[in-house]
Amino acid sequence: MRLADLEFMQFHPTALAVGGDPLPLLTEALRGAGAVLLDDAGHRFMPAIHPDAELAPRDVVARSVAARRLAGREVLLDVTVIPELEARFPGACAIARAAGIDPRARALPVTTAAHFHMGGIATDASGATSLPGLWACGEVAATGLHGGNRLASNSLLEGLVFGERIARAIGETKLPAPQGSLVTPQSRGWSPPIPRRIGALRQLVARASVRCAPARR
Amino acid sequence: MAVADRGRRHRHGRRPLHGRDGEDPEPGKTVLIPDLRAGCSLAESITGADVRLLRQRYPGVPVVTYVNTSAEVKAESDICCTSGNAVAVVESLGVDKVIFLPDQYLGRWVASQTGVEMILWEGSCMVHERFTGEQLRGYRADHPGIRIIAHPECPPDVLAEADFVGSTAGMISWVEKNRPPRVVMVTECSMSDNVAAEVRDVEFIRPCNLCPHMKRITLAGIADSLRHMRYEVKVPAAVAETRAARRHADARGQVVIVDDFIQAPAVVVGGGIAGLATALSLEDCVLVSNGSIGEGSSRLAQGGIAAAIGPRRFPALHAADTIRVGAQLCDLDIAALVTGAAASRITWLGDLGTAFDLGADGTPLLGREAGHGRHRIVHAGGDRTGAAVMRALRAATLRSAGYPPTRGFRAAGSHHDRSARRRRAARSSGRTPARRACAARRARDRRHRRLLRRLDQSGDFAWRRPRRRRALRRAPG
Repeated sequence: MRLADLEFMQFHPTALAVGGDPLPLLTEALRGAGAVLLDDAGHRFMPAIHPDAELAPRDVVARSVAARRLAGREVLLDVTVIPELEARFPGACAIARAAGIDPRARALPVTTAAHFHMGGIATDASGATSLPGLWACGEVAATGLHGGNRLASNSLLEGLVFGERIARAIGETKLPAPQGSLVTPQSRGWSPPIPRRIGALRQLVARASVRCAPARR
Repeated sequence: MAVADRGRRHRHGRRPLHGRDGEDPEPGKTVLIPDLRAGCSLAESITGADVRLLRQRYPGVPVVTYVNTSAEVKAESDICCTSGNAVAVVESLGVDKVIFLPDQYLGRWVASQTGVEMILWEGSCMVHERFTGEQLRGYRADHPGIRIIAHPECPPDVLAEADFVGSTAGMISWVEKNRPPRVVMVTECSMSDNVAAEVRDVEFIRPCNLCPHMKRITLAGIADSLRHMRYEVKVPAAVAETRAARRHADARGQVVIVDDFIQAPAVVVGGGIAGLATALSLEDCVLVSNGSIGEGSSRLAQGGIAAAIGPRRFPALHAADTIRVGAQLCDLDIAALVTGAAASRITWLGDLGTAFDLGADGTPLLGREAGHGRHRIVHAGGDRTGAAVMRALRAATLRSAGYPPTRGFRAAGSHHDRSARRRRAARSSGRTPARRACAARRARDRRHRRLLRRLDQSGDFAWRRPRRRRALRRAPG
């Protein structure tokens, strides 16, 4: 099966820096609503880096945040400037409170977090993969929409659009009937799968698929 | 061979299956029921499908089932309890929330004893439900100094009046320990007979209600049953299999439960936005999801959905932003195609019932996020758009499903499917089997919609105990 863009991993610029796995994410819409990033001295650093400042593409913001964190400095997201914070961002407020921080009182410590994989199973415009009868859609797929870096709020859209296209493509596709009989839990001699063997099988399949994948894109 | 000697033991067999095409409830033992009409109001209040739907609604919350349920319901449950050990069983789970089925009164009482939050079912015992607190206050007025003991299947106002609440065995040990001269015993007649027989020198006042089901089990009936070895109780093979699958799941942590062998033209793997959008657009498919339908990363999305909608919003500009942010590595045709289809997909989501955040003019409020040159992000529920969208998709998927799912189920009944069904119905004339099946499916869909609505609307369904109930119980009279 053909895979593509496996090297492109997106990092979220503003996860709440409280530890834990997965890290709680503070939505980027906070910055859209006016929240600003501050360094440990309380200065905004994004205006010097990009003309769009905090609204620069997320990879630019994430790299700037990561650079400061790697240098051992703290990065803060100041959300106190957002009017009607509680009503507009109930989720973010709940996340901050759960970590024991009042988001209306002080800026939130943030860090970067692995967020979205742009690459995956390569598909065409109908969502079809290189394996006949298999379509892929969502984060698992690499449709070519995201390129090297996904634009915010494009992932749900991609799932919605390709889901519909795949359904239509399946309806228009005639596949040969499978040969041989299927094994079902009702079949004679069926026994529950052994988890250890499933793991081994998965590894085998993964190795085989990667080896077969020609680098086309 | 084991023959149940009291009605109570028979309650677990709601519709006992007799004949040879099933499995013994207890391997290697024959179980007989003397009267096939003997049922139970608690057991009739819930089915295995209901339990599966509750599991969907409250993923990860363990299901504790009272013994008065069908084998099918027990097969879908994590653990089974009696009124005597319910408190200990719930505490043994070590969690702060359980689904307790099906007796709402027993569930509330266990919640008051353990402090564990209960998700309850509206089932109750028709016998115990008839007692009232007023009735008991009458006894207190007539007999000063009298003590009242009640079975936990009674309604809360009865339990609030009682000096002691407990199972039959609990009542016996309480009376033996406290030796009150006169006791009002609030439970089913046969149960109170058992207590009175154990403790001789205490005067019992018994406002007992008779259980019509239990009374179907008579001594003569038992004799007949033994003479003719009838009616043998068997567990249907499918139920036994579910039970086995659940046990396997318990042992391994994760397993796909498939109720029966399903054939479909397409299998959709994944219960996120991509999976559900695909499944809902297919005419017929099987949807397989690791965990609950709609659970996963889509639900966690805090951004929104980017879509160039309304006047003066250009998909081409959305595509341009996508390509610019994507470091010019995007497939241009795909970017044009996806951004161009965005508006119609938002309409589709709205038609499915997604509650988008709207402005004063009734059109979606448009936000702006990093990398976007314009305001074009649609939200639902503020920064919980993923959750709101997945809620709508999940409800639509369940609505269209042939039967309520566990983890693998058939999604059918999208708009394509409905028109296909209409065509099929038009072809056939009269009450054909296909049409009957269609009507049955519609009735089932209606029932599930009702249930879903009830689950969604009733905030008090997840019930937390009032703190003062324990104090009430301790107060003597």
